[in-house]
Amino acid sequence: MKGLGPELGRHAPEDPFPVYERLVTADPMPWIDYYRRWAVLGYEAARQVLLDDSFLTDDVYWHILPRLAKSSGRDFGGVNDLLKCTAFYLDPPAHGPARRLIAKMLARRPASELRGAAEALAARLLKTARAQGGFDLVRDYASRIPAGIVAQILGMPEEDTTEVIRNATTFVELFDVFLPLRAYQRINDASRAMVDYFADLVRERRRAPREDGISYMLRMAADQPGFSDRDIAGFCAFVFIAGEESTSSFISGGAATLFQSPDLVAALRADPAKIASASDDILRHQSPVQGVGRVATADRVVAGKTVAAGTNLTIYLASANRDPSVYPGGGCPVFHRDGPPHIAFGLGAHSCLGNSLARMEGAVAFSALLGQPELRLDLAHAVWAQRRLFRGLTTLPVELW
Amino acid sequence: MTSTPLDRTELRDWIVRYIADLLKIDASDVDLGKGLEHYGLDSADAVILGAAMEERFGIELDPGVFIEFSTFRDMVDLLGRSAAADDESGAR
Repeated sequence: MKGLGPELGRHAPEDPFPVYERLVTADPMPWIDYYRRWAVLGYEAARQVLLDDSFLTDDVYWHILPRLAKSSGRDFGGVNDLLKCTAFYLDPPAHGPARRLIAKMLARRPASELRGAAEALAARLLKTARAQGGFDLVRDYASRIPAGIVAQILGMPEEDTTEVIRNATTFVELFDVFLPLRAYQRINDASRAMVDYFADLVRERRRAPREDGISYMLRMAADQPGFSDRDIAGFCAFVFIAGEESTSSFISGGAATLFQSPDLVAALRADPAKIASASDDILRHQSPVQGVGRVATADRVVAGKTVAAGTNLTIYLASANRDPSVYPGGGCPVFHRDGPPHIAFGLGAHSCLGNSLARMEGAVAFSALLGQPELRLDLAHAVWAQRRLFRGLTTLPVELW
Repeated sequence: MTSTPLDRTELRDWIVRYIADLLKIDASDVDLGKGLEHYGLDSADAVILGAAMEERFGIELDPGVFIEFSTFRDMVDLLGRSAAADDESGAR
């Protein structure tokens, strides 16, 4: 199975789907020797692992970071601090209180209530873009809408988002784990800058509380002595990364797919009521978070094989969401799809808390783009980030007139 | 990448020493015709080895090269070549 290392770990980020399809058709859960882990590719196997709490989050960072620090003599405190607050890398007992705090903070501003703000933001961004004759869909639109909404939820000034987006984009390189030292250093610097930024806001809110997410988390944390102000800053950074990066990839990658499907564009322009369900199938089709890691803590049989306690797995959500036995014709998004719900948001203990926000933002973003009669995506100049597990475009020029 | 070409002999000697130190074996027992897998090392070890090479030789090394090149010798050849190519383009 040696050949699977290069196939799955070194595939072209532009289009990983043919690799997934070829592999999943042969075996829903192959072992990848080089990475010493199972690749969970099939829908049923992925569901089973995600829903079984005996699988904990991937421990690979906690093996690599201390060794890397020791061998290079460098400090990775920045990335350590942020990882401690990255809820999807936490396990019991730390995970529950962190997840509850974030869930309660997000619940204060339901997606239905923020829809108007997202629509206004999308309209404003498109107006500016039209005045300029075009824009970069990633930088000027897809990242702006979720960043603007997260900024409103947390209570950070929108003009601060540009710098924080840049650092968030660097942070998600970490998903790929097996990276050069310089990437770890970049990620460490970006992590520290983000937490430092939010620590300043936390300090201000501590002094003068407002009606915002940061002040709310500070109030809640007063009853939970486990969280320091630095942790609250870390949670803010995590909420920003999780809210902005994944949704930005969903919107930009989704728009690229949508506008390559003229029939779907025509159908949605004729009947905008179909946008929400089409948007959900675009999300299944894109699955920006391509894979998540786990480690088994008990022997389990998955896809007919024994996964021994102590072994690592990568669950390829993106592969499961295109599993040909579950989603026939899944290579093309449609406005209505039969079949079980996709797992782009994960499932179980770590299922995405921003689920309804991301759905709303995606539908609003696509709807506003579809409302532009004169729009051309320059797909020949689209650039995909060289990331595999957190897939996304870095640039996609658009002409607008 | 580095502005000075990587010296293949230096790179080769360094890898031999690194593997020998890591596995507590004699340098003469390190076979450059083999790769990480042969020595029971995996992708996490590759990150640490790659990082050490980055520090020592001033290059940015994607640990994935260890899977693309199945032997240390292939990798030394590649790194020697690409560094030399960088140097030529820098001189232009």
